[in-house]
Amino acid sequence: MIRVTGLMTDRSLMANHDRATENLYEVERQVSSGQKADTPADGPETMSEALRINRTLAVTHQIIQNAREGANRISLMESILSQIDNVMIRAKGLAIRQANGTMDAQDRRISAEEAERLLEQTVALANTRGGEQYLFGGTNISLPPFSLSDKDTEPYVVSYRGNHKNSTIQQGFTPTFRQAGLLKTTLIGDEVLGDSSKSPEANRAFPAMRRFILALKSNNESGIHRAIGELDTAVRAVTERSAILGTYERALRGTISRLEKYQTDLKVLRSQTEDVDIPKAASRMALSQNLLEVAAKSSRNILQNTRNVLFN
Amino acid sequence: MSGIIGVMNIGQSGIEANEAALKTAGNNLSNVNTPGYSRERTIFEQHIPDSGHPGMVGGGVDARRIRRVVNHFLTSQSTRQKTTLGFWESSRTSLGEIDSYYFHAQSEGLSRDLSRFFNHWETVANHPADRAARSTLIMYGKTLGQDFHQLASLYSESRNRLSRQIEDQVVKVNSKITRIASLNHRILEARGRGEDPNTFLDERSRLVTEVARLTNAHFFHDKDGSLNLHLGGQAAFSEQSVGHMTAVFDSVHDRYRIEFSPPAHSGAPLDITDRLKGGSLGGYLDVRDRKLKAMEHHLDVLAHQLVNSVNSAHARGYGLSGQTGVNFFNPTVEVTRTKGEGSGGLVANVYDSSAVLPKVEVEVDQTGVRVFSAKDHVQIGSGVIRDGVAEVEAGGYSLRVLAPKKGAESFVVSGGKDVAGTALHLNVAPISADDIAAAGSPVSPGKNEGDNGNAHQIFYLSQKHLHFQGEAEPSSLYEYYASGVARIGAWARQARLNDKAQVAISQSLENQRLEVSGVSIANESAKIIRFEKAYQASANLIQMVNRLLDTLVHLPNSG
Repeated sequence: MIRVTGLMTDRSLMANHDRATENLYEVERQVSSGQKADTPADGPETMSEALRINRTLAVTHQIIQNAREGANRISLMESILSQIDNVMIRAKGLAIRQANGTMDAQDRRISAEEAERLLEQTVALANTRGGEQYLFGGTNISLPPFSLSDKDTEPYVVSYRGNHKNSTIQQGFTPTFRQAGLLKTTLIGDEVLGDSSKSPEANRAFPAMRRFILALKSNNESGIHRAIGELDTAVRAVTERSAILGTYERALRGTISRLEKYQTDLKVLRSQTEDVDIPKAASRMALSQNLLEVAAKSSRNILQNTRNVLFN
Repeated sequence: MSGIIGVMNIGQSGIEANEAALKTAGNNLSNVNTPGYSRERTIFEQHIPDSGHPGMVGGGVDARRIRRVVNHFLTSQSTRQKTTLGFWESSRTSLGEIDSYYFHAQSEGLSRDLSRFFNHWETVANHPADRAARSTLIMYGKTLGQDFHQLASLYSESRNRLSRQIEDQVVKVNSKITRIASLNHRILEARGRGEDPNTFLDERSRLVTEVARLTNAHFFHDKDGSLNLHLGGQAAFSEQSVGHMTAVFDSVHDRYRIEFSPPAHSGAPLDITDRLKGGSLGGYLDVRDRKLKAMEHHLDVLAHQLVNSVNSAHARGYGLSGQTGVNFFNPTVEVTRTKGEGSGGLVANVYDSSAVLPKVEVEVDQTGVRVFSAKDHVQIGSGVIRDGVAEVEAGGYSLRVLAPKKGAESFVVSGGKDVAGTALHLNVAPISADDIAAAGSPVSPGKNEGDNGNAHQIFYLSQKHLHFQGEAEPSSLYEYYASGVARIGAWARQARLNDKAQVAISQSLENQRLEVSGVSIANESAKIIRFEKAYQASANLIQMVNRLLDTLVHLPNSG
């Protein structure tokens, strides 16, 4: 027969009470914070896994931001090229009208004025800024990439002041083109629109427009005839680049969509790793509360019985 | 003594014996809540009977002894278990404190600020000419530095607190062994007088339990009842003197040495640190000098890797005004010019912590760079100057060399292996927004400002697997940080669970001890009633003898 002493009873009651309180505290902590682990000791594996997921989420979030930034910039460039395209088509229309043999020198001088305005518009469009940076100057982003020379010294010459490098955005997890991690987000302007100072004979927008204006000014009918084809080639170059940008933008939107899905999956995974299953925790809390009440009640009864035995 | 007076003596012996038993039961009851008290029992023995007619009649009762009711095996088990309990209890509290520094570490503190810092390199990459973005990046770098300082300071505070705990435990051990030695003397003296020194025995047993909880003492009883207590393999006291334990702080190794001067020991105190593996002293020593040190080293290695990886990449890039060879964080590596007029320059950082040499020498002229191991002057690397700059990786260092305008220059690069204190001193170098090297190729005002290649490379550092000092396998900064968090979590959890288990074991053993030695109020109350009755009966016997004697005295004289 076990000999039960008062101290044994007291200690046992207190230990049981402490255990029940500790269990209740643990469940209450989880329910109130909503997280399985507040500190690493609450769940070293949970914490480690949550850290890994959170870092992947942060990187993914940044890459989505980058891709959005890139998509907006490319969309802006596409829109500018589309507007340049329209201006060029107007110039081509003008060339077709002025190629007609019925036009005289006076008509062509007047049209030259209109073509000049179209050239200025194209330069202004090519010098559009996206945020704080110019888009068509390669990595020379703080200066306007195209400059229209003085009419008297170098008439209708548009010079390219950008370089032949590209700014990029990181749309993947590695900073390499090979793994599609990087995407160019600036255009090398002279490749698309030409440089009438360095390559005056190129079939690109600025040299072609310069030659067209000069032909109009000098009432050079054959020059105007040639300009129709040259402007057409220049328009095609712009349209092609615009189309390429369109595919980039669609690819970026696709990337954003995929990454957002990945982000959602990661958040679900994080929630499964970190968050407490509230219904389960609530039921555990109810159970712990009951156990605590039972422990307190049995303690009371035992102490009461002891007192009755001893003093009555 | 026979006859009617003998009967009176029997009554008297009953009164005296039961009075002693009542005292014992009363004493038991009054000590019902005294820690370490062992209940006592009065041992009754009957008087040797006289021989005679009509036969041998007993001579009453004697309260021979007051005996402690103890089970030595259970007491000994309970005491030994306290050493393990003390170890895990102290480990739980001290590791719990460190664990709390990582409250919500998965989404706050260092992990959040590391993410923010590296992600912001992409913001700079997306807006390379935006000076506001660049200034924000410097601020994030400073915040990251503060996180490291805060954690390093918290570790330092914990270490100081644990130092005080260790010293307190040593003081307590000394005080308790002195008292045990004194009790040992008194017990032997009492035994010599034929007494049962129960109170002293209980007190000594309680003190031994406390010492066991403080440290892993080895103790055993001699046949004469004296107790031998050994600390770190040395007798803690002798009949003449008591040994002394001291906690000596070794500032060179930043650790505590526990020394013990055994009684009558004339030489230098003995170092018993390695033998102290239990009790709260063992627990505090383990946390302070092993676990906390490991965590501090882990933090320093993380900071060291962060500084050197970011600096190596940053020094390769170009700022908005064309600066190159600029560190983002204050470097951990020391560069000293040993020759040359100073037109050239050298920026050195560690790129492979696992293979870095303590010191290398660098020679540079207008055409090239040569790197030598300082230990044996063997050439370990070289590079060619292009556009006035050379990039060399040798001896675990990443060297960005700016060629001198004329002549040759020499440098000594050292401190690649020194990681201690990096976390506490991590800070952004005094740089401006324009100095941030986002570009991968030369920049000048108005030219190439949109180059953001280097910013992408620095962002990628957060995912790249790097060689951390002391680690066999490369890992990313986050993985390394997470491994530290998981390690402290595992330690704190283990301490928490082991402490819980030890408390349960301790309670169970204590219950078993109480089952034997504890005072039951009901039992003692019943005994009191029994002894009271016996006392009354003995008194009645004396009364009856008194009446008989009266009768005899008043008998009529028949003669």
